[in-house]
Amino acid sequence: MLEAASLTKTYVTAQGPWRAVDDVSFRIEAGEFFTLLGPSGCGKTTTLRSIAGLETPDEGRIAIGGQAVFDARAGVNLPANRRDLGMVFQSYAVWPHMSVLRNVAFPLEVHGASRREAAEGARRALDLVGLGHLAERSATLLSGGQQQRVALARAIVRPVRLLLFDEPLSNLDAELRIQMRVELRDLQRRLSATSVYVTHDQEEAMALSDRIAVMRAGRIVEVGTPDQLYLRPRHPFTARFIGQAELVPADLLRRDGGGALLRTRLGDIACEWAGDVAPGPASLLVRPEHIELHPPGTDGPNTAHGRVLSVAFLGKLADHEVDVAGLRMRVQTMSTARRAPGTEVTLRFPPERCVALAPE
Amino acid sequence: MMRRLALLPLGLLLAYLAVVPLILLGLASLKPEGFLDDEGWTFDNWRAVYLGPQLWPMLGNTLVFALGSTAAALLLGTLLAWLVERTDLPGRGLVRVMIILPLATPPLLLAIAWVLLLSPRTGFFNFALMGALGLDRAPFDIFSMGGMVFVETMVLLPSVYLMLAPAFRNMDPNLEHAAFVSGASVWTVVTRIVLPLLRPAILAAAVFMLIVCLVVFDVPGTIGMPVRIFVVSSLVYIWAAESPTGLPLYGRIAALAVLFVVVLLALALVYQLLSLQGQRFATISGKGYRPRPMPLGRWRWAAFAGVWTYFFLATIAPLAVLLVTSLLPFQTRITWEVLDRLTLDHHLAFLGNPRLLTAVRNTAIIALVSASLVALLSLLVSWAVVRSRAPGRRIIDLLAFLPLGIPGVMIGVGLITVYLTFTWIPIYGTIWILVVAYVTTFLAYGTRTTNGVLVQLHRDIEEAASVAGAGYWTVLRRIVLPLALPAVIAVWVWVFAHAARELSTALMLHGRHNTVISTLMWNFWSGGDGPRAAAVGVWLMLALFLLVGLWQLLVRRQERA
Amino acid sequence: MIRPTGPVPRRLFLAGAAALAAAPARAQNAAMEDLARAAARESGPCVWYESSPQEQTDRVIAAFNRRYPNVRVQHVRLVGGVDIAARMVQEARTPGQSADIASVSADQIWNLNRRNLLAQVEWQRLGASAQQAPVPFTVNIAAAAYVIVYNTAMVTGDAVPRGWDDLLNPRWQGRTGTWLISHPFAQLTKAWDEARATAFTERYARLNPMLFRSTFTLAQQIAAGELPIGLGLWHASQPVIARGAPVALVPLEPTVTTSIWTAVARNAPNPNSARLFVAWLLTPEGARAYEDATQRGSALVQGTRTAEMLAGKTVVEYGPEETEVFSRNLARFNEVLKAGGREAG
Ligand SMILES: Nc1ncnc2c1ncn2[C@@H]1O[C@H](COP(=O)(O)OP(=O)(O)O)[C@@H](O)[C@H]1O
Ligand SMILES: [Mg+2]
Repeated sequence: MLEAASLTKTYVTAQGPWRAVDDVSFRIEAGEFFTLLGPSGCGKTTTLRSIAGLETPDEGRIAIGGQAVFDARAGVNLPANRRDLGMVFQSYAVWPHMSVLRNVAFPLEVHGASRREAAEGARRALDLVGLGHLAERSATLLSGGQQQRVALARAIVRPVRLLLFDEPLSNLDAELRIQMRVELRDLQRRLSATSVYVTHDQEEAMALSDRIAVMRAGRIVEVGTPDQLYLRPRHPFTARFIGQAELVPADLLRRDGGGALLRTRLGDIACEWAGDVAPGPASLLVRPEHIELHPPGTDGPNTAHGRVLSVAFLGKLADHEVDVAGLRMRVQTMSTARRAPGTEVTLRFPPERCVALAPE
Repeated sequence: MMRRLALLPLGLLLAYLAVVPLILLGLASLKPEGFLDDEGWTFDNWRAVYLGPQLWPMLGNTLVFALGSTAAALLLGTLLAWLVERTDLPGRGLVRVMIILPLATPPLLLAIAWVLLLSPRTGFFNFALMGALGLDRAPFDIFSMGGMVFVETMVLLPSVYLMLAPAFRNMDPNLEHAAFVSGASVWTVVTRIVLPLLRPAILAAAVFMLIVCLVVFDVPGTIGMPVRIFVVSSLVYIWAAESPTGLPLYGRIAALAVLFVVVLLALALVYQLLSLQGQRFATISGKGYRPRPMPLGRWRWAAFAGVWTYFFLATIAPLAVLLVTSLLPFQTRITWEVLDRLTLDHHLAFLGNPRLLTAVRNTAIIALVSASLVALLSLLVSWAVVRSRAPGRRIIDLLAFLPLGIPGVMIGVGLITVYLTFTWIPIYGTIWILVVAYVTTFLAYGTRTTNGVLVQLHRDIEEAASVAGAGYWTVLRRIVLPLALPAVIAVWVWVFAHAARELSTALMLHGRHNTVISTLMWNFWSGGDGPRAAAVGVWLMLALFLLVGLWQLLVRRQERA
Repeated sequence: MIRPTGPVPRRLFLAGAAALAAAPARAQNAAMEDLARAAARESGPCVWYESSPQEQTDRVIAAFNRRYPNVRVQHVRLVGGVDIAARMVQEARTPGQSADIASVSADQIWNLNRRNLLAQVEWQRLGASAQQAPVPFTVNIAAAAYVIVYNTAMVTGDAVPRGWDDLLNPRWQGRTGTWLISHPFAQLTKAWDEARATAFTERYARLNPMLFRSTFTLAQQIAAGELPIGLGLWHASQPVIARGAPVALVPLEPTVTTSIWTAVARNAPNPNSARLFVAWLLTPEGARAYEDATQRGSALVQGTRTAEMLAGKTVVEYGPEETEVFSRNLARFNEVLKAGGREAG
């Protein structure tokens, strides 16, 4: 449905040229919810705006539904208003001089709908986002969440080829954010709209996306399903950025099949999954919630001895700080199974949850 | 509480600047000969003005002139501001400089340059067109209402541009982009999104220009009066400078000025009503925005050609004519043959003038101080007006706007009276009385511009700073000023140029110690030396060119950083 | 209404050939010497309001200082006589702020005297002739004379004008110009009768003359070829002629002039310097210096170019005491000019 190939965008700044987007390529299938995830300043917005036609990349190609909308070599650059898109902006960009209804009706009107048809369509879209009762209100008199819904309704009021979202939830409070996240996902499913979503919030990305592209400094680090990126990342940056990660310096002794054997200060650890890493310096990824705590003296492969330094009670869960061979590791258990500070323990790192990665 | 306290001195200062001339105006209109020391009171002046035969026949001309010039300047100025500030028009930096360039030229000279281009008898363009198209009559006659409107449009255009450009520049570009992505064409985006959003700024500019057109005299005096097209401001001129009684008819001018002030108040009120109904749109949000030009697509080069055709006709040609004229022994029809007669005499005479150094120093001080004061006061006034909830804030806004409706002559008379009375403020005859005059009159321009930008500021932005513990002045200095900076700088440049070129007030208040460049220019001009006056105009222009060029360099540096 | 408070003058000024008063020269010199000594003690500078460009008055003051090096005079240029008069009225309310000398036209000086703002001086004791100083409150230092101005490249052969009537030639329809203010026409009522002057002005107005704010501009426009001909002032045409413009002047019979009346302010801060300077302007030396600088000379001082030019001509001008009549005429003729050809249909 969407194909981006080798997108590159360089900005000229006072400090010299700056590659905001650097050789970015990806494909998105029809109906897919695809997210660009990365820390702020990594080039997500620039990539998204290039797709929208609001930014002109220096190099690369973008095709929507097989039609090239941008091709630096061929000199193709379809303007934004002819790409048939819907977009939700981070600042919402709700037009303050129009009513809610007219805001939402606008895309229909500019596509030739009569004022009445447009109003009807807009009402349907507003109902979809739960704002039907505010249609006549002036757009300046809305709360942030309501403005966000207006922006959303405006983006989906027409059946478009592609929906683009630029951190649409980042200005909402936490509770509303979670609620909107659910609604957004439902809506997207219902409309089966192909969507590109930009966020720096990994939880949001995990909750919404079919696939996520992790970006750093203008480049895509890796692309995968939320599951893959969480459990089997290929890159230490992904591991760190998504979820909590304990990364232990290691030496990769050998690779076998999909896995690898690592030598660490904790002892030798077998991993059933290895990312992009060759024998030599490496790192061991294990998530705090995957580390098991056993009574001291429990033996076996992938174990190490440690002592609990402190415990934080989080309700359902408990966070332990454990000293293992001079390393401080975080271990998360159900709070019913928590250990008191000073307790001696054996830690077990289940091989199916251990990942060998390149050194950080 | 702090806000109210800060409003008080501001209100007092404005009252001093605006109300004092207004009161003197009222008094003068009731004095037999318009001088404060006249004995007795009378309504004769009112009767002579409003029941006499002179005023009403001029009203039709005045309306056509004011409405025509305002509409044309607004249309073109808005278009240019949008093209330059919001689109990917090629060569925008140079365009910005070009638009502002005529600002430093005294309108008197500009009008003369246009006469040399478009006079049916000597106009260069007319002859060129007659030659090229084989016409036997000149296609244009500058000495007509059309000519007046045209030249006034050219005179006002830079001001319109400077008033609107900051508002355009500050608008959150995503508001346009959202429409663009929705499938709207460029035209739709402009007419349905951009213009309505900027309505407060555009309306403010319209009101300002209308009043200016009502009061200005340079263009009607140079182009209209020779062919008996009189407007209301011609009356002011005749009564002030050429009264048949030997003394100026200040009483009548004052009575007439009350009409201007009433029109101004009416327009200001309409403006306030309109901009209340339509709310004020906060189009600068705190969210990281980065204005990015709108692609014009295939219109890009067409717009480029259009803009430069305009510049060629409206800026380059008249300025070139001024330059050539300044190199001629006497003012004459511009033909290729005159190139043989070029001489540097006038420039050398100007540069060798014994009063030049004093005049340059005086002009520089006056322009710098007036520009800085107006910029600062405008920001304070606008902030108070737009942001505070204090009671008198509307009045403060009006006070800042009012002096625009008082003819320069009467401001001059008022200031002379005031500072001859309060001799403990010893500024009569010095450059400081000019500073007071310029601050008083130019504040109207400044506040219209900064108002337009401050209404765009989201309240959140300042409130965030207040919550963060910043006090009134800190918020102003650290938050409001930087965000309003493009507007404040635009005001500064505008006032600087106007203070440097302003002639009639400078002449009116001329005294022992305040010779400025424009009065030097007038010396040449009224001494029968048009070309020498043109030479001064050329140097003023050059100075402004450097200033504006420098400003644009800074802007570009800032944009990159 | 304000009543005239100054002394009501006698009939003031009769135009005609100049004749010097026969004041005993020695007494006059002594009086000037006394004045010069007193003037040198004043703090100065003595401020002179006059509307010529400063480049010109610089030369006048320089000539004055060659004779009286210890008396400082500063010229402040205001735009015109009306401005100067207004400023004098306003400044009178504040002691010490007043200018010392004002040079304006007859109607303005009349108004200033009516408001009791002028010093009464025995000018004849300082060497002035009776014509120069017909009254104690003012002296006539020079005059500007109206002439026909034409462009020699555009007006040739028998089209070249010779007198007033040639101004009315229909060939100038829409191609002539004059000052916006009907000064010369209003003055004509003094030479001709009222009816003739009015008829003349109306006929001229029907040619739709362009009306300029200043006769300097008029001369420039004629030099530039914008107009072939106009009614202008002799001195205002000199700058373009000096620069080589194809402009020539035709003196008129009768000649209409506008005199420059100069007075000392009643509360002048430097009264002696002021008297000295004004008295010097009336001497042949001062008159010539003023004429050389401003191109306006006194017909009342022998040896000036103006006296030569006007010799044998009938010179007409309303004097200060005739201001009321003149003002009425002027207002009426202004309307005639402004109406242009409209009334003719
Ligand atoms: N117009 C611009 N000029 C200069 N630098 C820019 C411009 N737009 C973006 N950048 C820079 O490019 C990088 C990527 O920006 P952006 O795509 O907005 O990041 P993100 O959306 O991932 O936070 C940032 O470092 C930003 O500062
Ligand atoms: Mg972003």
